Amino acid sequence: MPKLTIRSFATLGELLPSKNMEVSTSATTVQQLIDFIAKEYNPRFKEQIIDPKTGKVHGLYKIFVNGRDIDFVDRLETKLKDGDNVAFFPPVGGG
Amino acid sequence: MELKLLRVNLSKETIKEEKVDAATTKKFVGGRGIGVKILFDELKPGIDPLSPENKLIFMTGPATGTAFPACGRFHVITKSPLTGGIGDSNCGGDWGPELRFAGFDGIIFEGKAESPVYLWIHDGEAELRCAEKYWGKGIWDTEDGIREELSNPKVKFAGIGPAGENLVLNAAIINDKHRAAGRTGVGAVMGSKNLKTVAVYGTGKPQVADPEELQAAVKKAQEKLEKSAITNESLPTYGTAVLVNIINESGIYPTRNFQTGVFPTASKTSGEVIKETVLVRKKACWGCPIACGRVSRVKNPPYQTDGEGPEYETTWSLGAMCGIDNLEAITKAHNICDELGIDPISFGSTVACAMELYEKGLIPKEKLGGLEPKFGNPQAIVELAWRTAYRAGFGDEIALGAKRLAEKYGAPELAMHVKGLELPAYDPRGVKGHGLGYATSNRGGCHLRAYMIAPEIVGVPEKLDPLKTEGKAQWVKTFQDIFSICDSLVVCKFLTFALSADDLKDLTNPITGWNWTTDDLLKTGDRIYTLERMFINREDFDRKDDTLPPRLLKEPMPEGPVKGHVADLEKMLDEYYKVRGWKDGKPTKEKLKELGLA
Repeated sequence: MPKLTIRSFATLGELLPSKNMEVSTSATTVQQLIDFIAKEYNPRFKEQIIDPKTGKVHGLYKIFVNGRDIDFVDRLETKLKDGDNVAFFPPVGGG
Repeated sequence: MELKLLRVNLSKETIKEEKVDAATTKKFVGGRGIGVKILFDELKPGIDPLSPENKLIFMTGPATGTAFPACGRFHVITKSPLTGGIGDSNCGGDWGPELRFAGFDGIIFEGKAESPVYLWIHDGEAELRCAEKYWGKGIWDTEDGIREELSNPKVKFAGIGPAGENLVLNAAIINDKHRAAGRTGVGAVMGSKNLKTVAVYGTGKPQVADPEELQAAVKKAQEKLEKSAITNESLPTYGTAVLVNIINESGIYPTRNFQTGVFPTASKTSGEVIKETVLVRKKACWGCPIACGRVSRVKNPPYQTDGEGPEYETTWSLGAMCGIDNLEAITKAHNICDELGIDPISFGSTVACAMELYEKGLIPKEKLGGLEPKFGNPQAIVELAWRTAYRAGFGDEIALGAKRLAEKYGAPELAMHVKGLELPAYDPRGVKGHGLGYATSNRGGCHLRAYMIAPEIVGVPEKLDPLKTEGKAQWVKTFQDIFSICDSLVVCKFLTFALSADDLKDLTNPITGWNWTTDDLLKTGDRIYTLERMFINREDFDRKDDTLPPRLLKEPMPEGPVKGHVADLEKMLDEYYKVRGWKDGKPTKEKLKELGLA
């Protein structure tokens, strides 16, 4: 099965066993990966990220695949392949 | 609404009160706007910024010290010794509100004192006092010493340390021990005037036009600030350095003097790690519900320190920019900058420039007094902070800033600056609109004239693709205009993570009684930004200076998610001048007439 690196930051990092994990999964899209994480580790992770009313990513939460914001790729349908690096961020700001 | 200012002539030792009339106040608001208006009207072009002819203006604004959220700020305006253009810096803490409580909206310093002095302002009174015994002392000892001298533990201070006294070109003015009006070398101007600090204490309260309407607008604003996960969760929990990971993930975290945008160990210096290690508690500026400040402590040698920070910018400038991931050393260097009065952004960037010059063999070893300024050496950044403030050894050259240092060693292209001001912590090769903001910033390399990271990375007020250029010019202009208003009211720009221009207008009207529309607010911001541009045009800045370092324009990003990208500037710049009503970096006559500046 393909292996993915999952990193979760700030408050999201506290919802998973590790902020930096390597997982083997059959997920081929970001949506499937989130479902996998919710089932395997913590359903709250998905509840935080996905708005149940719209099925879309909650405003200001961000998901990057190999450093590119999925909003500018194919959103939750963004494809994943072996070795991809997926990063999850809650709303962050500063300056 | 009128403003009440003090005009202090340090050469003549005179102090006079004067008013800014209601019409001028409505046109330029306060803070940065009134500051640049005074400077434009009173300063002759071409003067030496470190001569007595320069003026140093401290301004609060109509919002300072009122119920307006996050209004504990003030603005310093002068001609910059670092850039030769507009010099200004905005700062939080308690000092700004205290000045208004003492009965004044601002202070204009002119001339030069014969020997070191400080200004003591207390409830409508002001006097110059001898500061000779504090000259040479750090910020913290000076504050403690004068508090004791005045027998008043509640006095607030904004002043300089040895860096300002020694005319270090990136010297800061520090208030409340740890808040820095850091940028553009304002501390050196204060030092050139033999002015050590401004001590203020007051028991008054700023008047507002309609307290009930203000209370309703504040309630609405507070609800929005509480609903925002940025202002209510990430900033208070992790501080501004919560940005480290997302900026690095985006491949735009400037590393080793902007040689790349990826720092593999960036997370060791992130807001999350600060929270788990050096953080003692969070801290808010006066009247701020966000509380992004950090009180910190490093317990163990060799970098023991008690103080504040680091913030996002210092975590970077004293960290990744110099290839350093040692959080304890970064925290130590941050506190040395606070204590001795240095702008850590410009300082860190200048050290990074020196590191690259050294690694390329352009700085001879004998110049360095035993230092090894290699990327990744934490001791170098800590040691150079001291040496720079006192201009000791090679610190005397870091005191020049990156542009002059790189020119001195024959490699001007290695200074990462715009208009002489060192760039902050985002690589514009991967955030195109932010690059336009850097290039067109009136004060030079700055992220706070137009914070395009908000739409291009954070997603506020809406998400824009950071790698596209289309439409970015209008966004940059709008940000510049709104931030001109924030700096003139004077309020914290972090409010704009949760509040719109409409909300700012709703909060301003009950204070001023102006009945602004949102268009009025934006047009006033445009006027302030354009007047600043007129100031720098007079100092020979124009289109040729609205640019970026050649590395960012010509060298493709070598790795990471934005590999291969350069900063695309020219096309956006043409569009920007069009939306501004400028030609070749100068406002047209029609534009000046439209804004009431002709």
